[in-house]
Amino acid sequence: MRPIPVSILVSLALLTIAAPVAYAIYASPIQAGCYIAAPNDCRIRVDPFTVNLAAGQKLVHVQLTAYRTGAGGSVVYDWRPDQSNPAPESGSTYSPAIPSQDIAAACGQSYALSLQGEDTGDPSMYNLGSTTTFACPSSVP
Amino acid sequence: MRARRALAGTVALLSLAASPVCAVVTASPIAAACYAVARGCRVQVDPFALQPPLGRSLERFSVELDGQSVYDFATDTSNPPVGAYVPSAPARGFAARCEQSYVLTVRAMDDLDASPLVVGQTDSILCPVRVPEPGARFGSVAVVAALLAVARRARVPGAART
Repeated sequence: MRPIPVSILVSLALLTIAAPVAYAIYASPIQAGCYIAAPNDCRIRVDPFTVNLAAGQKLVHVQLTAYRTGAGGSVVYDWRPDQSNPAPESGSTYSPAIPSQDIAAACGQSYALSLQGEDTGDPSMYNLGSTTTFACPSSVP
Repeated sequence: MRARRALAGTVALLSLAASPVCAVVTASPIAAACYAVARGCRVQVDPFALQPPLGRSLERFSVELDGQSVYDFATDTSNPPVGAYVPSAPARGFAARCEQSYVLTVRAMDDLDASPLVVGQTDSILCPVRVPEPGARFGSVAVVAALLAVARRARVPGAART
């Protein structure tokens, strides 16, 4: 048996590394903004979004992460489906309810929001979209 | 409520469709109101649609009261809206000061604009008088009652003074 040339082995290894993980989940665009609801009470408003899954898959996890400029990110919304009857009940799309009171934020700070999701066919959480940076108002006009 | 919002959004989109083609972001008419809540006043803007020019995408918009931002909104970095977009209204409206007048302005920019441009503006909106808090009302009633009692006691002849 002839030995496999090292160059081919290296090429194969590189191809393996470069091959993207096949995620079956994606989402409608994520859009959000920050507004001042009362003095020192700023909130992030997320427009409704839809998560799309591959046929036959179920939703495992949805998260919204807020990245505050200069302070890193933190999860501000964590969604899990029913354990025994995971969403969607039928079809391949699901729109989680948007928090009715919106999401608390710090006035005078800037944020970018990102959406992560995972379905039963995914190996891990996947970044589904993110906004550009938006600023929370600092005071009531 | 949801049906009414959907109807308002549809009306906003229809009014946008009737506007001529433009090279900047355009908006359906902007209407807003100020109302009193338990602790202060809020400005609520009616649903509106933003339309970037053909081939461009909406990048951001903001709502200002008298030139000061009260809502800053950013779109998706990789899939921004290319057609008409109706943002959902913040659940609580924007904080405002009672008995003060405001001009509400919407600014928006697409991916080729250097800075946000004014796409709509209201006339001056007057915020109503602040609703007195129940605690404050009780407090003022108690003070008036105490003053009346002192005055009555002073008027009654022979009333014991301590």
